[in-house]
Amino acid sequence: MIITIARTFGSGGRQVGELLAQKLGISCYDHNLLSEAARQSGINEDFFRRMDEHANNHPITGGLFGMRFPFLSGSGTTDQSLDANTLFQIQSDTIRTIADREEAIFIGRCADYVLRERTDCLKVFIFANADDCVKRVVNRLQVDEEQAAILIEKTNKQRSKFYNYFSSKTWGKASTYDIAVNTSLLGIEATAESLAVLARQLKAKAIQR
Amino acid sequence: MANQNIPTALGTEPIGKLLRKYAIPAIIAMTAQSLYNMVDSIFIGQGVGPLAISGLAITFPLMNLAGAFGSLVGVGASTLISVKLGQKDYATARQVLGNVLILNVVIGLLFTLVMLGFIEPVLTFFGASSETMPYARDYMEIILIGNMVTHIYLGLNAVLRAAGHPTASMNATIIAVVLNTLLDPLFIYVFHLGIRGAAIATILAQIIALLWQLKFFTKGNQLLCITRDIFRVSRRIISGIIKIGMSPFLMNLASCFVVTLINNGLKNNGGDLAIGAFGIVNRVSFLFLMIVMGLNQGMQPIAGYNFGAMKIDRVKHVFRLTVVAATIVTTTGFIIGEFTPRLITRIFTNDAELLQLSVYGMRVVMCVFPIVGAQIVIANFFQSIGMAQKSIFLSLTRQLLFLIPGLIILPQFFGITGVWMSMPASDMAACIISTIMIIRLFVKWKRHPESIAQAQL
Repeated sequence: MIITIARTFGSGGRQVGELLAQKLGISCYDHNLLSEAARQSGINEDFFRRMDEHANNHPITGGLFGMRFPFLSGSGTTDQSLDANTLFQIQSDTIRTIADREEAIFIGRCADYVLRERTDCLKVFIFANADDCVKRVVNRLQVDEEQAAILIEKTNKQRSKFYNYFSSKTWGKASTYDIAVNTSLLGIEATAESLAVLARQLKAKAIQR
Repeated sequence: MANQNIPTALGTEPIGKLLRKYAIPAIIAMTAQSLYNMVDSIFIGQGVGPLAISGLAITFPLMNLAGAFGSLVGVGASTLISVKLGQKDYATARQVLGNVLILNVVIGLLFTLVMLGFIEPVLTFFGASSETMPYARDYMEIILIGNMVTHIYLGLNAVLRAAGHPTASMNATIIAVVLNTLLDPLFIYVFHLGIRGAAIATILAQIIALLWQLKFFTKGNQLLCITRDIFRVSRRIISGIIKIGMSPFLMNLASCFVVTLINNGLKNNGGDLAIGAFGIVNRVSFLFLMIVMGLNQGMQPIAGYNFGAMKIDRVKHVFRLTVVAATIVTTTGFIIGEFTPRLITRIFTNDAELLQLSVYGMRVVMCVFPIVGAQIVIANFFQSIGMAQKSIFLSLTRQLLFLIPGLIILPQFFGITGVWMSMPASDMAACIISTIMIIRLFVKWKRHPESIAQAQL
């Protein structure tokens, strides 16, 4: 059983993932995925952290012109430089290795796309009402409400760019996932519980087959 | 597959061995590419005449412009395809390929129609006179008609490389070079088609190379098989391709602009044959620069991986080794250009005036060549460790930022010598800047090792 959780910033998606992992007795990979990728590839973890969920690693120029910069050196591709594409490739290989090895929950990082071939994968999208997201961000990061709103918009935009670039699908669109849940409806705990019920049902069905 | 499972051997095997392994195929491909251009110049110079070489050189900026549109599609496409192939997402990779072909046809066709419609004013803008216009027009008309073939051929070559068939992509280039070399004399000397013959040979060679490439795209068992269903236009894919391709597009556009300045500077200060001289000098110096670019391609994965693994000694080692190798290459170019320029120029022409102009031009242009190798390697080094902005800045200094003011100012005082001089002057200035930047980087690494991982990627 593999569960992937895509989430909007401040929706509590990560907490849902962690709770769900506890309930199901499996591990949840969020930032620790990066350490694992670093261990497997030999590349320093800081580089993974820098590009984490960014499709574009040149914020200034990329932001200005909306361009990415694989420089023309005659080769046409930069697939072997230390850039976002390479690091994403390594990170996805890590996700697949973990999924082959154990039952797990993956937060973000295009995991649903990376694991799209698997039949035992539940793809979840988690979001929440805008004011709940702001409240959560204000609490977690000690910023005021205005800053929180800006941060939310920025991060969601980044995540969507990252996802759409690497998957050629649309981040947050219902048909991209198996289920989309608004945590404002039931709260974190109950959302995790319902997802756990769903996950157990799916697993039972898979075993029957 | 191009970038799947970064080989950890990059972090352990001897640097020299790795560099040879990665650089040699790239060098062969690059050399073949520059020979391709050279062959046309040689047969046109020997078989058609000195003014025809000028006519050919006038088309360089237009070729750059066509190449700009080619890279707009090709670079983005191969990057996207290699990302998709790395994810084993063959369906999307094939859809990217379908969209690439659509884009190639549409852009290639539009380019051909617009340029053919305005061929005379365009060529005049790029430096044609009433003497050289017939040659430039005759050559360019054929090249423009075949433009779509060229785009698809180059585009598929980039895709082949990205799809993990670097040898096939190299072979396609070699096929085109060999055929062009065989067909050029046939059309020029046997059929007496003049400069048109050279253009026909070029396009025909590309058509055959393209047909050969297609065998990798038409067999059902190939990952990137072309079938009807992949020709669905996807806005996301097209915008992805264009976004990635925009910077190489602009770089090529810039070089189109620079060559136009050079051509016009030479024409105004030295007449039509001076442009032909640039055509020859450019072909010769390019051969050496392309070898350096091949070396760079070999350095890229090694420097990139070891930088990521924080094996800074190995990063510096591969950098030093590449700089030394590149310097040997450009120094060889320097020796040939400075001490045997007449011998080299003789390959292209026997015309006394053109010979004299080319020999002089070559001596001036290549006078700082030994340091150029290091400059190009440094610019590329920043790219391979993920500092793309610095890398772009550095290559712009040499090819644009210092060159344009030189081309505008120096001829006012030194005439034609000023046009030639602006090239080594800009090489020199760019080299100083790059050296300062690389030393600062290495000093920073030494003083603050903790800064390495925090580098702004």
